[in-house]
Amino acid sequence: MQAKYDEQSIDLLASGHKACAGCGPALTIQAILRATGANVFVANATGCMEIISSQYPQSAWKVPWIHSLFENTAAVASGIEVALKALGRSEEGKVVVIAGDGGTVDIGMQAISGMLERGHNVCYICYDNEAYMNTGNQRSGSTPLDASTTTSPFGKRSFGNDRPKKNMPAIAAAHGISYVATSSVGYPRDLTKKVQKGISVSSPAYLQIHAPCNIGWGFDSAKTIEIARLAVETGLWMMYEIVNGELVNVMKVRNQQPVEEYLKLQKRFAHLFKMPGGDAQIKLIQELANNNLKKYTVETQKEAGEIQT
Amino acid sequence: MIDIMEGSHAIALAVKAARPNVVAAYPITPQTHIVEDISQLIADGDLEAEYVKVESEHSAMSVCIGASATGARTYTATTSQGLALMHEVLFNAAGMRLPIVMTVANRALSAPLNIWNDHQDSISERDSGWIQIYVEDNTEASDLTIQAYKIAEDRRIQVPIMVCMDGYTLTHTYEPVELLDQDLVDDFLPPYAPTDYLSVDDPKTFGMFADPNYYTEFRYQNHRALEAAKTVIAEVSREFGEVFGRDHGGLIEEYRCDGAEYVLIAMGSVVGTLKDTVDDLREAGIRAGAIKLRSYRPFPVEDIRSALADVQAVGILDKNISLGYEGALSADVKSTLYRTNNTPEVFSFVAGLGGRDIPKGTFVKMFDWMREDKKISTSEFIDLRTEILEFQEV
Amino acid sequence: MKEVRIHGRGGQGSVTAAELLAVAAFEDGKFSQAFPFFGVERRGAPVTAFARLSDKKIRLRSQIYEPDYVIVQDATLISAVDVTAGLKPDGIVIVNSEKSAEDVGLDAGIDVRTIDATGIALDIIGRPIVNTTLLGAFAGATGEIGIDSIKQSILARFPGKIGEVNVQAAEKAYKLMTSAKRKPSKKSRPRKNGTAYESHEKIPIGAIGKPGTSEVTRTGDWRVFYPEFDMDQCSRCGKCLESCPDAAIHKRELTGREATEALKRAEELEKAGKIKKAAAKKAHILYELDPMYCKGCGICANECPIQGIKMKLEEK
Ligand SMILES: Cc1ncc(C[n+]2csc(CCOP(=O)(O)OP(=O)(O)O)c2C)c(N)n1
Ligand code: SF4
Ligand code: SF4
Ligand code: SF4
Ligand SMILES: [Mg+2]
Repeated sequence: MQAKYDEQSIDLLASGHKACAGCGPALTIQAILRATGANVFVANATGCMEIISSQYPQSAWKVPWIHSLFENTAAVASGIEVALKALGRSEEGKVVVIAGDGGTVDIGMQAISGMLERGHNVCYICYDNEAYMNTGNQRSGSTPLDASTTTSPFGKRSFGNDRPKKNMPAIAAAHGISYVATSSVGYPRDLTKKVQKGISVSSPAYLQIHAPCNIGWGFDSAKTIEIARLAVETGLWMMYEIVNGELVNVMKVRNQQPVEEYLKLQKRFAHLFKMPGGDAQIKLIQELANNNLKKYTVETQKEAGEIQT
Repeated sequence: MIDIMEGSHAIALAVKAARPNVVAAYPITPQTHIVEDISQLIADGDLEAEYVKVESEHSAMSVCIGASATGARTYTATTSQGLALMHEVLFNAAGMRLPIVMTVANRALSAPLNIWNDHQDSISERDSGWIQIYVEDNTEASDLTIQAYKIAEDRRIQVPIMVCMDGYTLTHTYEPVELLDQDLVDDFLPPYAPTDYLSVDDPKTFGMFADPNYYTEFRYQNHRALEAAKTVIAEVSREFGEVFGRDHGGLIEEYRCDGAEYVLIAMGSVVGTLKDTVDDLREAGIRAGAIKLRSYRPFPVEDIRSALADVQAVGILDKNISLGYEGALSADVKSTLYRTNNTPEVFSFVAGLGGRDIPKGTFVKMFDWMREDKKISTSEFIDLRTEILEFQEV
Repeated sequence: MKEVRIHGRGGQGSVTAAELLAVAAFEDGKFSQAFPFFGVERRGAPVTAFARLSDKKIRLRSQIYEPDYVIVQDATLISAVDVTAGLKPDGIVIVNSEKSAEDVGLDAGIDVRTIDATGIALDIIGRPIVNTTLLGAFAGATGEIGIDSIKQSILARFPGKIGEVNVQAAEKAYKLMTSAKRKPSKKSRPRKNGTAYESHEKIPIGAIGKPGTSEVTRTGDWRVFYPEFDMDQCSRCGKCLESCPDAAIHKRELTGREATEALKRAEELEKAGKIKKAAAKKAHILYELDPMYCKGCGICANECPIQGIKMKLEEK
């Protein structure tokens, strides 16, 4: 059973961690841990969140936590889960993975696929800051189209990253798991609800949470949440659940904002507003957003049924 | 009790007797029979363990890390490419001081692809912080599997351990094996009860990173633990002997080294053939001896020095080669002998790569080299088919 | 050979400053070297960068333990880091501060030069980026490098408008420094061996840590701005707390007499039309800033639905 806690004041990721001021992923973790409470085992992949929280002898974690490597976190979590089972301690808490987009959609993919397919009772949460931030903002498979990163810089022959984001939630869902969801640090209530759903199923769940990084994306640290909301309001980041294989609860975008509103606040897209041909690229991005909104619609906005586990 | 069975089956039974909580493994020749037999034991309800059928060796070791850190006794087995794929995870497990036990069914590394035995795979992981013990026969492999847990879980050291047994030569050989009595095993090996483990009640942080202020000290502590393992390995071996009435020696086993002029050092199953060769040579009046090196890491510096104190020449058989230099064991033995009194002549031999058989005649050749005091530069390849070689002379 | 150690915070351009210094020295016809202490620092955490200037080829690659000069980009570091460790007897410490040399908290025997680089930078560059300003000050205070070479190295790194304003800021600092008079240090400072060892506690096996021990780090030192709460208007929605990545906002509920008093006072204010009813009713609930940890990101202020939080420049 979950312990009782004062939902608002709980800080299971302690102060004094070394994340940049205004860090979206750190805020994401605060929200995740508020949703889970203290009865969780966290397996954390190498990346910004691991580094900022675990420099010996200072740990920011107030829950049992392990970091092993970059790409094996899903397997480490599988190990924790089976060990708890074998030792008769499963009731003690839920196993949760916290990993970046690089550790998830790229190098960690194989271990995740194994974990999902084997049916471990693990809630895998990817905070998506859309690049390898820990190593200084290199592109990942989750970097959006035309974002300029240190390995996908814009230049005379480049508009930045030349591929759209990999659709990891769909890949996770293709494993036939019962709960997949996307959320955003811009919507803390939504995030809390989905994390609580994710940990309530007794089989694998996959969550991907959009988490702006002011350093890598290049915006004022105060705007982390604002930017996260704009990603949703433009249709560039979709919020939905896939329950028992069915797309449900797509967050409606009532008043779609033009993508420029989102792009212009970020240095990683600034070149699009200056380069010849940049406007055409912005149109492409607008199309991506429009397609998202078309693709992620449910005929009748139905409530998800009981999650089968 | 003694029964005849395949080596792999003996290992599966030993694993069962050790009562691991979690097994995670990925199949690879010639380790497959071990994990198949363990799967069957679990399917039949004879072994109560969670078996995670992982999607790779990298994940096998990672599952063991997660499980071990949670307080479970863990087991895995692999070889060759699988062990190489585990490389970074091996260092990680050792650095976190998790007492994982792994059987390595030794096999050559690709390319060219080769599924047969040599020691290149585990030798290439010698700096990973794992204890490596090489066994001669299947009873020793089985007994050591039990001892391995006791060594690894010893609170004074807490280091993971590889039980290295030759692929095919041991894993696939039927021979009589001394069985392990479960009651005796339970007495000898109590359940794993670590002081530090992941728990909600006392939420510790595992796997922190250490900056230059601390890293050296963590490495030093780890190194000291490996050195202390020398004592623990010998202690556990003795204790096993007292309980089970058989013992396989400490870090090394000396065979007819008393008064020997020529001693050959080797590891693994080939030591049996070597012992027979030594007997033959002794019969012929040649003062030959053998050293079976059991513990490759930690390296038994003191034992080797004292065993070689009075010999005239020592030969080393390497079933591996550090390309561009020489066999790893030779290099280690040579540096061990540096600045000792009466340093013997040292002869380094490479043989038995990728499953090339080593009959007694091959050992005789090595003793001949030593007796004739032929000079050799680095490792001398024995039984090399020079007639098929083609070189671009430089 | 002259050795320079630069203390700053992640994001302040300490490493860039060292590099620009080396480039400028090279322009002056010297051999030079610049390197950071490679850490995993994020914005705000203390960082160190080093530069060596010499007439001969430099082979030495260790960190700098006995600097001739120290540049302190952020005076708040003085309480957190031993910035003058190992300073040579004739050494000079250049500190970014509006205070006078006597008041920055360094020992009296040391030749300290202060300069309000933040003020100059805000004035000329428009952003509190002080590294180039301090390089101008360095040239002025030490005479080790010509100001023209400093200008060249800045322009080469930041072409265009940005470079120009940085050069102006550097020049201003240069002039201020050359007019100040010198007061040599009398004694050398005790040297520290290597980087500061934080603690001498025994290390456990396998680097296992204890929960929440990061709380010893005062990340509040990182901030440039701090949020000021207007509790009279606050509707107690809790959005600010939910928006803080650093758990630096706490909710506290007053009880007993304290609560009664707070509610009473609020009722009066409400009657006087000064605060809203929603705020008055929950006046016993406080959302409080923990200045020890607030990094000053400004998210809480951005998210407060009633604009009840204002970001103010931190007085340092
Ligand atoms: C096998 C391996 N390759 C590369 C790295 C270097 N590395 C560490 S973290 C990281 C990027 C992490 O990116 P992401 O998962 O998106 O997390 P973020 O840092 O953005 O939070 C990389 C490339 C590594 N640690 N291990
Ligand atoms: S680089 Fe980005 S993700 Fe990493 S700590 Fe800083 S703000 Fe957070
Ligand atoms: S400014 Fe940022 S760090 Fe400070 S309290 Fe507000 S949200 Fe937290
Ligand atoms: S966000 Fe503003 S109104 Fe809401 S609790 Fe915080 S200060 Fe009060
Ligand atoms: Mg990332």
